[in-house]
Amino acid sequence: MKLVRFIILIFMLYSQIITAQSGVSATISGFVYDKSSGEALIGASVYIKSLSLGATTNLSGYFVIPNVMAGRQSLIVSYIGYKTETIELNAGGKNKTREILLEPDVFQTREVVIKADSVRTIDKLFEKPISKIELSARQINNVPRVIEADLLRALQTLPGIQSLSDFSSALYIRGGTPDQNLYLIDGSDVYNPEHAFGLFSTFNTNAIKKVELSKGGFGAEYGGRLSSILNVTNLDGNRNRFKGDVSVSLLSASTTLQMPLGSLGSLSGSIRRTYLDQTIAKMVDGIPGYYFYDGNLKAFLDVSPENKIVISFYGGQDKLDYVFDKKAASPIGFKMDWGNTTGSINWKTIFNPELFANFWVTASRFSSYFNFDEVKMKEENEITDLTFKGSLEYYFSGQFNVKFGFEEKNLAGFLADKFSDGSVDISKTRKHYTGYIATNWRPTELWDIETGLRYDYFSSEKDYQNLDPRLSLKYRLNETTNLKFSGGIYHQYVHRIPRLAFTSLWLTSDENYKGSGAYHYIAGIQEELWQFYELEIEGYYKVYRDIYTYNQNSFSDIKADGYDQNNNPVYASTKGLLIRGDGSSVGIEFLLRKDYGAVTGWLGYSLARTEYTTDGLNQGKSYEPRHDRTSTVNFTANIDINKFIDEESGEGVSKWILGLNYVYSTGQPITIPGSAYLAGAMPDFSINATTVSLYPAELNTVRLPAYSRLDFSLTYEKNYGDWILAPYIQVFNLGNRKNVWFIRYKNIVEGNTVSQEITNVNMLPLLPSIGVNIRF
Amino acid sequence: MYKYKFIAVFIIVILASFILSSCGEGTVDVAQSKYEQKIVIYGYIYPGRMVENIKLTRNFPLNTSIDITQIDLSGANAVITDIEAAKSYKLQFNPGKVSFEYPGADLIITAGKSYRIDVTADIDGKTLSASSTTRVPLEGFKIYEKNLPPMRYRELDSSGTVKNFTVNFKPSLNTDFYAVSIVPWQADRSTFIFDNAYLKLDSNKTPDNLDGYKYRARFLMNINSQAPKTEFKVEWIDTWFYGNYKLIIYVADKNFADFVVTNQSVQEPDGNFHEPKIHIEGDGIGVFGSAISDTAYFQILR
Repeated sequence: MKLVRFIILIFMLYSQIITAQSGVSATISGFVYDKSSGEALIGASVYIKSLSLGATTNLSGYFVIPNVMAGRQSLIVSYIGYKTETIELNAGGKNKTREILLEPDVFQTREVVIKADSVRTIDKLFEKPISKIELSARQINNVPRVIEADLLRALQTLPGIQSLSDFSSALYIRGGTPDQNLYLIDGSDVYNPEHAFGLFSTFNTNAIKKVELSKGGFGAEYGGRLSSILNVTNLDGNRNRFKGDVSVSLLSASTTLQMPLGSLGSLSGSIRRTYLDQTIAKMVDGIPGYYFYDGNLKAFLDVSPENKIVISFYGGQDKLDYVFDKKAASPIGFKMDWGNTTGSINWKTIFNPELFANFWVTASRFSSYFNFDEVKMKEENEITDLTFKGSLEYYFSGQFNVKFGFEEKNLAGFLADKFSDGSVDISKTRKHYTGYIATNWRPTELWDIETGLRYDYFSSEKDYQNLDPRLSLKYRLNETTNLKFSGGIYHQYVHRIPRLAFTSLWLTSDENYKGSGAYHYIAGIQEELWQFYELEIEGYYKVYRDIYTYNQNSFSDIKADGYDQNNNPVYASTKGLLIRGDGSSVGIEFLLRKDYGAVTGWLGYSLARTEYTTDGLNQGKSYEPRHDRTSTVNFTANIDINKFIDEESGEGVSKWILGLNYVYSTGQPITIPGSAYLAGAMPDFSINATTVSLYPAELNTVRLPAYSRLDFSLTYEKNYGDWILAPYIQVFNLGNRKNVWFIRYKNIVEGNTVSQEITNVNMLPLLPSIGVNIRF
Repeated sequence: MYKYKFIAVFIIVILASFILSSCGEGTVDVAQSKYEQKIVIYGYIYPGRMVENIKLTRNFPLNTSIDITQIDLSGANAVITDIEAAKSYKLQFNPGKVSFEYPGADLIITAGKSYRIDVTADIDGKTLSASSTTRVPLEGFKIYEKNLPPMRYRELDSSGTVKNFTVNFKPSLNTDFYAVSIVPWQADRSTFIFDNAYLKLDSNKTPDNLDGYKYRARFLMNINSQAPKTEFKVEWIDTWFYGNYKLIIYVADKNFADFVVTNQSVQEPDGNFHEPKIHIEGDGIGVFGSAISDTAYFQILR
């Protein structure tokens, strides 16, 4: 901490000297807010056209343009979905701080007419780091859904992001596995962001302000995962008036409320609960008593113009009470609970206009509980993460700035299993220290060079430390084209055991498992087409070292670490649960996107190949993991039908919105049996035609049929003064295509003759749903 | 107007192509999976006993009708070797038992010793060979009380807790894996426990796959083999018939243990298959294991 304080002091002194010396130049800084709600706008563009100087607001909505020459300047502030604001100011040698309010542009179709003072699409693209995708809550909610709007499922419609099946919201990004993604909610890590065994994610879309996903090549300020960073920022709360959303779907009801706290700031909160347990489960036998709920609470406190404090809380819980036969005299069953709780306190401070800082204390807890009394099986699992971190941005000049920061992560976890003939008792604590520095240099208008260095020290039974360099280059090739490159080394010290019917377990690097590593090389080209279309083409190559997968035969490998009083084994080590491997992913992605106008959406295509090599599997030969997809086409469109028919129509009292989502992908690799043989489970069991065992063929050499799906939604929005009522109908898998999940074999025995009946186990069929959103 | 007609037609064409490509059903081409001929060894040896019931068969391709009486490798050349004595014994095919055995009295399996089986056979014109070695567990294992007192289905004790049949046994030294077989003597519709705690079944119909309820395999792993006593509790989910039961506990060697743990769970919850852990070298699959066994008996009263 002393070192951090010293560095801050040096920068503050330096900035004072610079300010004193500059005389005729000044720093223009400030925050950009949504005029209607007072929400800080992330990624808004602030630009002085005459000086070709500009900046983008950071995650706090803060921007800095240092060294602005004296004189009257026009500050152009723009953001997608908002009216561009031009502010005249006189930069007469004094630093200027501005709070800029942007008004939402309800007449979005008119934005197709690019105004002279607008920031061009290509300039916005240039500001965006490579492989980064930004989505707003509106865009997420507009993607046709499986009953419930879902952030992770919306992201699965983008190129380079795969799902394993319709039943899973987990993200497989550019060949990486879901545990290689860092999920952040208001700065806190989320370890298992899943509800309903992965069917839905934990993020309540109504509470989301902004989603930023980096698919790779991210800068030194991020780390701890090999593949991607998903940074979710929830609503700060409306600072002008009380505002609310209510959503009711077939699955759940949710509400989000926002209110100002006078001059102090704002408050937002949301809550969601499913109700199948109170409806269908009470009427239909065999439907388990299952529900989940989650809630967010966030306070934005405007302590002073230079100091703001954001306090955020998230809590969610799934509860399953499964009874085998509800009508039995003494019904038996099992109970499962699991959920995440996160909290963060974030202090944003402006030490001086050039030095902006964020400090966080974050806490995250995932816990799960399972109890099946009948077979004496009980499991409790918990992972907690208490993190202290700081991130500082210093703007030396309009051309050069430095970011630096630190992080201290305190991890603790335990797994306590009890079964009739043994127990698991694993309890571990870990510390992970990180420091980073990143510089951003714009030597000319054409170039943007970002370098970074991240240092990790992970402390466990065996300590690991790594120094990860990062590099990002951007170049404006011409008026409509940008070129980008990014590369870096990434490390991860946590490893996950995915469990389909149970919640996933997390292990850490220790004397048995190394830290995993990855190398990213990404090159891209961005093109502005017809003024408001964005075309991005990116090629990437990733190399993985020491990645871990669950050992499917771990049962035969694990050894007891001791015995209880009944001489039953007690397992206290994680040895044998994971197997080590290496891998690589290579691919190219195309994304054509349009965020303005009556028709918005994107068209994506990715061509990719991922290969893993895992110790002890497939005779050491490489194989394609199940999430490998050669080709994927994504098409997502939202059509404001009224505006589409009449471009000049204003925002009427009602409108129809059509949503379409289409995905096609090459079938996924799968291992199926290559042959069968006769064997008994026990020596005394009779061996006959019914005791056929299946023997797998080579690993993942068979491809399932191509996956294809079309989703559709139709929403009718009607305004009643300040209230908007929006009933909708959604149809998931409109064509009712029977996409194969896997295949099942059943032995058909006739006398001494045996054959196999092969049946497809399909993913979700046509799934219509209705619901209504009310906004006020 | 012409513009909108054009756009509408364009959208309809795109939509139609999307709908067409997102209908129907995919078919898995299982022929993509390559069939490889293998010798299947399935046999166990027990200390104090002769070598018998070693089944040598071939594996067979899926999606074809196979007469299982035609897959025996009766012409195979099979040899058992006592590794410590460095002495080999050629096995003979017994047509009555449809298995291989060594009928001579000069080979009696001894606890603690290692034995290897070598098999050579011609399958589809290809000469294949496979071998496996087992180390026989040490003596010392025994079940203390072999005849357990009878009990009613899910009988309660005085505190209202469900009682279980409990088998106490002395472990074999240095062997920490024990496989348990639970089999009712009479398993048919007349003895099936329809009024069970787990599944609601129509008492007027014979349940499908009665063998699935009849044969129950369980295991105890990593137990303290130095302890004088270990217990195994029979869970009620493993008993689906009224009447008498035979419960065999096997002290299993590594080959047996890995096979019994992994052979029946080669399909993962997401449908993918993975290889079981098999200790056979060459062109073989299956198990060549060794065990010591003891039996207990119990009865579920109506």
